[in-house]
Amino acid sequence: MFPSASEIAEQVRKRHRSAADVVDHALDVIAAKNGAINAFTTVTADRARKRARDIDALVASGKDPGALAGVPFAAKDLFDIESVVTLAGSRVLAANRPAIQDAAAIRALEQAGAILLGALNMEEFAYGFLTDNAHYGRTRNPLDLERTAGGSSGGTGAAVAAGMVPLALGSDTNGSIRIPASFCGVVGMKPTFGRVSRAGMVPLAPSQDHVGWIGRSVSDVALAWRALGGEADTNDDMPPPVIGVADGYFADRMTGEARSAMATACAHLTSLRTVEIKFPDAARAAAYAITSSEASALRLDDLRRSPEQFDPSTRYRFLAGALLPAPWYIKAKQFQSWFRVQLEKLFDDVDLLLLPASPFVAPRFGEESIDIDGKSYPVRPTIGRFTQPISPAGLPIICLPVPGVAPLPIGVQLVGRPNSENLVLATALKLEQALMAPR
Amino acid sequence: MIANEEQLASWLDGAAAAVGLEIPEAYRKDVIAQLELNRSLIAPLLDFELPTADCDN
Repeated sequence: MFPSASEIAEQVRKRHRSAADVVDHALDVIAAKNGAINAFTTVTADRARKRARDIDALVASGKDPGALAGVPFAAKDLFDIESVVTLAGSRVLAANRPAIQDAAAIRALEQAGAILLGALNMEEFAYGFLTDNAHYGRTRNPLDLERTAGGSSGGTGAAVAAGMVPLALGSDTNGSIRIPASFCGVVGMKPTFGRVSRAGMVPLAPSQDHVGWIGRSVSDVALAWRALGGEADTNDDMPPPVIGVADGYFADRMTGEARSAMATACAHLTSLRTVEIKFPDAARAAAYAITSSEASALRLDDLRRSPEQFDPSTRYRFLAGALLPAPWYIKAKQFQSWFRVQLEKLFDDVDLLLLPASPFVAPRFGEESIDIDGKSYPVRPTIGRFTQPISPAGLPIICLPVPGVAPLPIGVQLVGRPNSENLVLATALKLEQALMAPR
Repeated sequence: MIANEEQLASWLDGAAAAVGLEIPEAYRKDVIAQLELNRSLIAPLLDFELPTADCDN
């Protein structure tokens, strides 16, 4: 397993380890594990080796390559990589020309010294939670190969959980960073809507698309946040934040494992208060309508030309989404504006919200239904129950794993008011330390 | 929402034509099933009475 991103950067900057050695090790791990897991769709080995040589030369000349010096990372296959065709998990884009430059998020991480190793598998056009892709195969959960790694950033979660890279980029529209983080036992972050540039990223639903990323620890995702444009943390001596724990919808329809994860997280936090997030069903419906309508509008030309090229698991959603009545979309957009204000008002009384992430641990491939409190629920539409309703609000969120509550990983979400990333990160760091401490 | 199959087929063709789409025969059954699913998933929004305050931010 890799050391943390901060440890790698420290070793490279102090010349205790060369970036070339770090990259060779990562490529070896990918070669050994990717056949079974299928996290990577493209490995940019030559580019990575050249970049590692450049980083080592910079260090040798006495210069500092940055906070992520020599840290290998990969990017969901919807970020442009120079000279590589951006597939977005689809055959529809396979005939496109290779990208002429890297996406902004990749450039930002590389400006901080990180080294790109390749592109990661995903749901077609980021539309789904399973990463069971008809064109490029299913991405398997490194902790149980018979189970999904989640989605749509399944390759992102799996690559980090498998130790192929310590850090990876993805995107989150309705939970596509948070679900893989929960299922793979890693830390996922999405910032406030619009805080990290989406330039060079294939969109799904621009009203809700966020760049996000996954790392093995909170401190690693914090390093990435700062490299991607976030401000440095200055809140060392802050008082413990007041945490709102949502009841009602957000305390219902989850397995014992998800309930235990919430209870364990609560037991390690102080200043808890019960809050109510109103109208979650309407919020989830609005997120669904926005995603459906915007995703289909963006792919309309492809749907006219060659619907047969779409993955069967997304094709009918794209076709039906193109027929969504305009008044429904308009109402969803009006609801989004209204709901954002209502959620922000909650932060008059609390500093952060604690919510479950996924209602259950990673399901097995082919598992159609799941039993919760004696009732059967369909897997696919239930996965996003706790991530999708809050997605239209564009709030900063970290999903972190709660170890020890189940044989398979499961996470919780810490949600902040807009632009409170440092508070979310600082609280997540303390919670992570408390959860990892020997008892 | 649409009373019978004939009406649904007519609506589907009209809605598709309006956005320049043709739904291939082989896909019609699945698209109709998805339309019905969409209606049920979006119902909580359609049934929601949106307050007039806070909608203009």
